[in-house]
Amino acid sequence: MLFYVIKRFIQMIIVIAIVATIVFIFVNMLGDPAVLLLPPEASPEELAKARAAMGLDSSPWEQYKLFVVNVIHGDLGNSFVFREPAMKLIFERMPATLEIVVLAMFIAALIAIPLGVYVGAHPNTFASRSILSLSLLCISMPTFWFGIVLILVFSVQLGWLPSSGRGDVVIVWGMRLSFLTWDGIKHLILPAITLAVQQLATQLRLTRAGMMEVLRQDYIKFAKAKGVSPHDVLYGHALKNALIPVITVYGLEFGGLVVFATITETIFAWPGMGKLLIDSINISDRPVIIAYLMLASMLFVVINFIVDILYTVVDPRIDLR
Amino acid sequence: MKRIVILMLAVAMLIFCGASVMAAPTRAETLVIGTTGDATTIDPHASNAMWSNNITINVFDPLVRKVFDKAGKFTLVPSLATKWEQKSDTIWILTLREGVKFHNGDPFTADDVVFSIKRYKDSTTGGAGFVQPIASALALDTYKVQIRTHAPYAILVLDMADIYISSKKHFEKVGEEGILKRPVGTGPYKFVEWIKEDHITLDVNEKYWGAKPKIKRAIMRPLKNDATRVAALLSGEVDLIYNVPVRDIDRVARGANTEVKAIPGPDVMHINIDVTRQRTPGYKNGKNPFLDPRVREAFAIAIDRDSIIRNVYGGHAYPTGQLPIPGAYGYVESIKPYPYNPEKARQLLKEAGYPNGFEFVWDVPQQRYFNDGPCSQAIAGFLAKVGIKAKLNMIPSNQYLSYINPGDKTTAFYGASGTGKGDIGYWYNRMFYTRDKKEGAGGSNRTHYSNPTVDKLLDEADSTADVKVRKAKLEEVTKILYQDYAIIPIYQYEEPYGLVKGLDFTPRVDAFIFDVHTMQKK
Repeated sequence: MLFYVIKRFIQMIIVIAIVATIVFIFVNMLGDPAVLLLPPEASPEELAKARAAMGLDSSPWEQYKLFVVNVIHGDLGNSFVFREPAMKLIFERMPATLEIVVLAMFIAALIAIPLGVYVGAHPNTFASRSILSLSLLCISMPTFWFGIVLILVFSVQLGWLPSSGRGDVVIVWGMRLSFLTWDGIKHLILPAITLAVQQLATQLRLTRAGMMEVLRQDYIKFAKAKGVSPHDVLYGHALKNALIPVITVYGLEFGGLVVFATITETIFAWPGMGKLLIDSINISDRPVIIAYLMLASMLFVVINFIVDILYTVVDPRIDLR
Repeated sequence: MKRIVILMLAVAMLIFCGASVMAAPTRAETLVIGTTGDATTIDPHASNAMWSNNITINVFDPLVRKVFDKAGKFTLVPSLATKWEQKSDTIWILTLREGVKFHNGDPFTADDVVFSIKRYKDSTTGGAGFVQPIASALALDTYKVQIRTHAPYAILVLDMADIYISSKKHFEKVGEEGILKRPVGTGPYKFVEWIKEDHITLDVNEKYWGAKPKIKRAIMRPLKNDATRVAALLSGEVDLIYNVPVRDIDRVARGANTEVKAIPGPDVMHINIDVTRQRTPGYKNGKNPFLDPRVREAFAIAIDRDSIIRNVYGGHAYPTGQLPIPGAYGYVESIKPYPYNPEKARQLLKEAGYPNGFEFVWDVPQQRYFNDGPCSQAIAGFLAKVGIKAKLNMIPSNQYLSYINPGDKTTAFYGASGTGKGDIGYWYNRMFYTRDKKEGAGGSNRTHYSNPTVDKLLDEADSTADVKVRKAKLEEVTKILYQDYAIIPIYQYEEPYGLVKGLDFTPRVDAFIFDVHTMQKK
């Protein structure tokens, strides 16, 4: 196990190094940060001054060398725009994103897995067909459209839920958390539902596919023949084996939502991480883009690791080596 | 099971131990503003970014304050400077207001003015542009400052309206980092907190030296998404929003509790064309066709501005024939938009030797300006009707300026000019002064326009200390540019604000649009 963890850790370092290098090359192709940051009528002298202040006056190779040295010392640089450490900016916004993503993934799993089991076990009923068609609708619905419709119905027309922002927050160890106040929870609902809908549909369909395959296998027939109750057959014997692909995708989607929930965050003016990435790309805030994508790749490696461990929990026959 | 319950209780206890609940302010005394972006800094001297400016104007006082009327015209009234006298062509003496205190209790003195101007000058992130004409500032005594400009500069007072003063003592105490955490000014509102991408909160300064502000607390929320911003206004979560999207203007105007206030904004959308170089990068078949004034005229009159404004902007823009906006120095009342006349355009092209028209490359940004895509396509459509084929070279917004700035790839580009300051001189100097001839001028002259008369007039405008002379020279330049067709102005933006009924709000036509202490809720 320890050997496995060390192997994974080395893999992570390699992945992050490669990602950082590729991103570094690409951000150099984005627009000139000085031109984007200063007003359009700024003079060449002002631009040169700004470039020097941002460390952009040396050659790309020199910049890269300095970047690598700084990263080894744990310094990912200061944002050009905010003049604060890039990592600090990202971590400041992480709790907000985690809140909606965790809630969304929770809602999705809570609804998708039982429904998926039902649909997989009874593929030909009217209810199953309706659920399947509905899930197709959920997958194909664009997030931004669905989010705006939710706002129009529940905020503007009915006035039940707020349209945007985080509401009252409680500060816990420097993190601003919405889910501990009633007002905050009301603000959480719409963005979480918007994020959940597509996840829900994907997971439902995966669970269904897994169930349908597992249910055809001999040991299920055997269990039935042995007289195990239908409920125990479905949830005790079949579901466990159908879950492996669901967990894999669940993990990846979780990571994807944490770092790229941009659209939902923008619609609900939710001050999360995804918005930071897009804003930074728009204004070529290189340190933030690089730090962000390094963090994203780290997150994915970690999530994959957790998923691997979960495999062994769900199916003890799987061995980590 | 029991263990899980105990664990959950323990977690809950931990959370509440570290927790402190934020009290909600009363809604009636609070003005919530929905903006289109977040501030990039709260340091008043570091940036010219719009949403940073909107904290600056409330937390700090300028030397001179612009007061706008309902029509969007401004008058200058004393603020931290009560008097300004011109001693010689380049020397001004400011008399400062006595008895003003900063939010932390420090008294306001001449040292703070000198310090603030110096900080602007040292800025590498866009602040230096605010004080560019100023060479030095010197404290003569506690309440007198002497300002020396590089050259005679007639509109120093306009610049003074954009110069905001922060406390020198406070800076010396807390340093650069402290200023970024908590700005301290003399203004009508005190800074409370800035939660990035979430909100900025300002509370009234009860000891403000001027008229007492009516609104107790102002909250600015970045609501970038158009539909979200409008929804937040319609549902009553915010009281005032910037930039109502064209398709929602009617909806907000008809709303039970909302209304729209729209004024012509400071930006004029225009096309610059290369009328100077013999060979131009965007035209492949020999001599630059735009050297011929008839071709330029054909270009200018081929565009149906009214139709574009009607169809692309739902009528919410104003056709114009010049870059300065009404009221700005350099604006010429008698110049009207180029008239739409496609028959004459075709005729002119024929006379110029292009009976079948010609093709050129037109640089256009993608989503840099509001509706730039549809608008440039509409313009290209009108040009095609008379035979001028404009090949749209669409460039991503964040690479646009880097691409067009050197001018070596650009024959024509689509741009927006801002006269928010109330004077077009700075813009003309950057955009139309011959390149590489004078330091600080022509730096953004992307079409390499060069006209000795214009250069001379701009020199004269920048070397007089007399506002009237400056105005006359700039107006002369406006006329020449109009006759030269060096720029083809299309329209002036409208800036529509959405607000709750009963809010007393006068829009400002400059880069500082939300001056909360002039507002009042019913």
